[in-house]
Amino acid sequence: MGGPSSGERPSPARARPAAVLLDAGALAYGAWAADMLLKPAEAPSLYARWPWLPLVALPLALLWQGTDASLGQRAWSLARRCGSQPAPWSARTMASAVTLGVLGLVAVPLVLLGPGAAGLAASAVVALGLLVLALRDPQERSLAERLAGVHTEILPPARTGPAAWWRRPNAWLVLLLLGLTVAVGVRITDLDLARLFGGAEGTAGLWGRLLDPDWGVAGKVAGLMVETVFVALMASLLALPLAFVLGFVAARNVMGSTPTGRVVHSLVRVLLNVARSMEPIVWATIFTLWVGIGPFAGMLALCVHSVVSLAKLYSEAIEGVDPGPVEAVRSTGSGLLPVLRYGMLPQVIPGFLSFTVYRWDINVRMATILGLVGGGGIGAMLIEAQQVGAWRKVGTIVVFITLVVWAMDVLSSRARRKVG
Amino acid sequence: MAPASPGAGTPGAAQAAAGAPAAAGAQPLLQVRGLRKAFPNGYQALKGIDLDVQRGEFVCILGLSGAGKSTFLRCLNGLIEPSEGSIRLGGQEVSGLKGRELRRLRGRVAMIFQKFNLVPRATALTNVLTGALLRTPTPRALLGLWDAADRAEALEHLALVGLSEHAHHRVEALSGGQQQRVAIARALLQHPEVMLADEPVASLDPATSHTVMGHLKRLQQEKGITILANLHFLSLAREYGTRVVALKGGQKVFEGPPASITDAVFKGIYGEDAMHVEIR
Repeated sequence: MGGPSSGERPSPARARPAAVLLDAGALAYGAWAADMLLKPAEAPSLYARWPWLPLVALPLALLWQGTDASLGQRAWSLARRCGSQPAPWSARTMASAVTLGVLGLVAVPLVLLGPGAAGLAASAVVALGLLVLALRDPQERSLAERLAGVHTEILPPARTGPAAWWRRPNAWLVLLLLGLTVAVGVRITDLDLARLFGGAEGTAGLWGRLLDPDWGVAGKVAGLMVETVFVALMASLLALPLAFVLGFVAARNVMGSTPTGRVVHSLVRVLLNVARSMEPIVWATIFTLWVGIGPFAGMLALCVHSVVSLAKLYSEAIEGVDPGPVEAVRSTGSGLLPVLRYGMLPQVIPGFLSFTVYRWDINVRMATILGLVGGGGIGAMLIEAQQVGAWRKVGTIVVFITLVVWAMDVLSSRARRKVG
Repeated sequence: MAPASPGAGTPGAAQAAAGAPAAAGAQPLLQVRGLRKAFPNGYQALKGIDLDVQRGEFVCILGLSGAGKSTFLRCLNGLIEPSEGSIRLGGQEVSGLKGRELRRLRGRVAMIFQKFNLVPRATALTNVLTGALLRTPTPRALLGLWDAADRAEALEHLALVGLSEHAHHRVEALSGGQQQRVAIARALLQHPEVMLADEPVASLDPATSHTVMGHLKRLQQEKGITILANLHFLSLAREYGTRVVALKGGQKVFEGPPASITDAVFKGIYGEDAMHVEIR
C-alpha cells in the first residue's frame, strides 16, 4: 500500500552521468590492467607514464553511449528515445558529440585564462549555467539530449527474460575485466606457489616452541586476558546509548520530514562515515597521546569505533522498518518519542541486540590488536614476547586468545540466534 | 475517564440518531471544501473535493486504486497535509494545524488500516493502549506505565471486539481478522468522534470481512461514532453504508444513498469493463 507519495523512481538525471562514469572507469581500468600485464615489471604504470591518458576514456565512453548498450547503460537500465520511438543511431551519436562539445565549452575558459583562479571560476560559472539549464528542463534532459531531440528513460524490468549471458557483449566484457583483474592481482602480490611449498622447513623450530607453551606465565596472561575482555565490554556498553541515539538521528525516515531534520541527518551521516573510515588502531594511537598508554586508551578507541559502526547498523535497521505501524501510532495523536518507542523500536530491537552482541565479539578480538599500539590488555605482552623471540610465551598467549575468541564466538552466535 | 463509559470523550455522540444523518440544516460534523493534494513529485492525488458528513453517518468511499481514497482519509486526520482547501471538524478549521493542535485532531479522528499496522512483538493489550498515547505523559508512555483506567478501558474494548482471551498474546499470533479487531479497539481507546477505515477488509477473507464490518457498524449504531470507510466492494457499501461517495481521478464523481447506485453509475466509477463482484 505505497500511495503516490512513496513512488520514488530512480532519476535518469542521476543515472546518466553515473553510466558514463562507469563506462569511462571500465575503459580506463581495462587499459591500465592490460598494460600492467604487458609492460616489464620495473617499468612505471600506464598512467604514471601518461597522466593525461585517463581523460581519453571519457570521449570513448561517450562514443560507447551511442550504442545504447554500454555497460553503464545496461547497469542502470537506461534507454534513449525520440518521442515514443527508440532514438536512432544518428541522434544518439549526436547527443554524445554535443556532450563532448559541452565539456569542451567548460574547458574553454580554463584554456583561455590559464589554470589560475580566474580560469577555474569562469569554468565553474559556465558549468553552473549548463547545470541550471539542464535542471530546468521538464524532462530532466541534458543540453546535449535537448539538442539531439532525445530523452533518457529508465526501462521497466523486461517482461521477457534477458538473453542468454553468452549472447550479451557486456557479459564477455565483464568476464574479460575479471580475468584481467585476477591476472594483474597475481602479478602485484608476487604470487609464487614454489616459494610457498618450498620454504616451510624454515619455520620448524618456531612451530616447535609455539606448540610447547610456557605455562609458567599462564597466570599473568590470564590476568591480561581479563583486562582485554573488560576493555571490550566497557567499550561496547558505553557505545550502546550513544549509538542508539545517533542511529535514530542518522535514519532518513526519522529525520527526513523537515528541512532542519534533513540537514542534521546529512551532517551526522557525513561525520559517522568519516569517523568510521578511521581504523581503531588510528584511534588508539590518538587516545594513547590523549590519555596515556593503557587500557583506558584502548577502551576509548574501541568505543569510538563501536559507536560509529553500531550507529550505522542501527540507522539501517531503522530505515528498514515497516512504515505501517509507525503511521498507525502517529495517527493516534502521539508525539515523536512515543511514536519511535511504539511504532519503531519493537521492530528494530532484535536487530539491535544481535548487532550489539556481535560488536562485543568483534571488540574482544580488536582489543587484542590494540595492545600493539599501547591500548593495554594482552596485545602489549604479545608484541613484547614476539619481539624478543620468546615463542613459548607467544604460544601461551595464543592459546588464551584462541580460547576467549572461541568462547565469545559460541556465546555471541547463541545469543544472536535467541533474539533474532 | 471512567472506564465504564467508553466514548465519554465525545459528548453528544451517544445522542446521535442511530444510522441516520442529523436533521437537515444542522451543522455537519465534518465539512470539506475544495480539498486538493499535490505530492512533491507533481502527482495530483486530490483535485478539489467537497463533502459534508453529519454526525453518526456511515460513509463508504468507493473508487479504484489510485482514485485518491487513501490520500483523502489521511488528509482528514492530518497524516497528510493538504495542499489547498478547508477541513472543518465540528466547526473548527483543522487543515494546517501544527504540533500539539494537530495531535489533538488525530486523537479525535481515529484510523484503522488495510494492513492493520499493529506494533509487532507487542501484546494485543499494548497495541490497544497506544490509542491512549495522546493523553499519556511522555515519560510514562516511554516506560509503558499506563494509566490504570486506560488499561481497564483497553481490556473492555478488547472484550467488545471479542478478544478478551487474546489480550496478553503477541499480535503476530493472531489471525488477520483478529488483528483488525485489535486495531478497532486501539482506535476506540482514542475516544474518537470520527473513525476512518482505509480498506479495512481488503486483506481479509469474506467471512472475516463481515465480522469486521459488523463491528464498525455497531460502533456507528451503538456509540454514534461517525465512520468513513474506503471500500473496494459495492456490495459491502450497500450493506453497511448510510451513504456512498465515489472518487475517480481525485474527484468526487458520485454521492448518494447506497441504493441509488445504478449500473450506469457503477460503470462511471469503475470503468466500462467493470463487473459486479460481491462479498457475501
